[in-house]
Amino acid sequence: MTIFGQGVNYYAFSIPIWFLGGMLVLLVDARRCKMAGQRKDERFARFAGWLNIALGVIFLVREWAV
Amino acid sequence: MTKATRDISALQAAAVLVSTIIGVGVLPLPLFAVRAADTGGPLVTLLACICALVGLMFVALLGMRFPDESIIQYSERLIGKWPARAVGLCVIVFFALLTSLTAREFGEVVVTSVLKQTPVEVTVIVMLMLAAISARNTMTTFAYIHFFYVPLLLVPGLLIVALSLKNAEPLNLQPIWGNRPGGMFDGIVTIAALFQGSFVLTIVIPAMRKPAKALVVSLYSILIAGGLYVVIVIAVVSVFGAEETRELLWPTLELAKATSLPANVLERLDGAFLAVWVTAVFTTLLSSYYLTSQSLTQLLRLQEPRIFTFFLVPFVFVIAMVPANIVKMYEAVVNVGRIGLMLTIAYPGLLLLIAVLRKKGGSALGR
Repeated sequence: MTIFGQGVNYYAFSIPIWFLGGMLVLLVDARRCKMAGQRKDERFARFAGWLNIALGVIFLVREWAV
Repeated sequence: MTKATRDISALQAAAVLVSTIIGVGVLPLPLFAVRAADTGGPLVTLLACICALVGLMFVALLGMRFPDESIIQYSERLIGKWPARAVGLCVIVFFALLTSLTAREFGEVVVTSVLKQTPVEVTVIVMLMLAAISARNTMTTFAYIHFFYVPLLLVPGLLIVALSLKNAEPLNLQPIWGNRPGGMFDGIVTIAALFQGSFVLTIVIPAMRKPAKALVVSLYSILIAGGLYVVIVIAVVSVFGAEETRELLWPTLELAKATSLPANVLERLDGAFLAVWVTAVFTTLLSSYYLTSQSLTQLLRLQEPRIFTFFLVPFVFVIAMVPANIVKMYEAVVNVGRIGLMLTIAYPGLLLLIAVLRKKGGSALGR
């Protein structure tokens, strides 16, 4: 299908989900773990959040490149 | 906090299992059954129920021996840390795949029969977000969600089947073992795979008030959910006949279309059926998502399963969109389901055997 003349595939649909997922993990879950004093969980949440955002960037670059 | 407390009753546990089992597979179920053994479809479904019951009984018996732990935790004591972790990771990947395929199947049905202009990606994302947000709840809330929805799944489902029987022709069900029983084994395996969500029992038992009732719970759950599956297949085959059913992609939906309320109050019930079915898909998706996030937390020795709810959404979404079309998707559903039986039936069976031989684990009977 096309939106604004651009072909949209599931890669394009996934980009905001990667960013949204990453931001929610960082802003909600990592913060909650920090407040609860769960250091290991907080470290993992930060890693998971940034991993989502990094994958979002990779998918975004791929969309521009292809 | 999401720490499990022991406040799940046996009735709630049964509700979790029933609403988890009844899910997206209801629509193609009669097609799988008829492809395997034409008029023997109901018999194949019944045998698949027995096969699924065996797997669930292994999980229940293990849960009764280790009432405070899930399979991810007690498997380490039974087969060693690293082999258990490796298989545990396989279980988690399998349930992530199952979640993806359930969401995709839901999306395909919605865009084919209701929202024809909406991209399938949108319906899949909406359902996954709904599951992710709901999976952030405690085990108690999780059980309440299922308990609330079970009557909404069972009553309309049974009503549609009962009303459809006025168009039934019992001769369509004969011979009951089918004309070509050679494909029965494949059919049993394929249909038994539709029950795999019931593996969620492994994380429900540690939150049950009386873990000793796990075996009875599993028996009644399969009786109710499996019973509904068998009557659906009987209704479809008796109304349409085996040859006609073979030509239908979602025979249960066609059955609802062909069924009307008395005096034509509602001339077709597919709309009402789809509303019920969306609820059924949601509860199934919620269970597999919940199981995945809880199991990952236990595998990584973390305390907060909510980290994984939003983290997993994009992964599950991308996997869901991999099959190129509906045909490829159903190939994936059948293949992944069959492989999954190794993890949901054979693996618990092996663990139970080791537990008995090594005399590991106590008894939940005193609880």
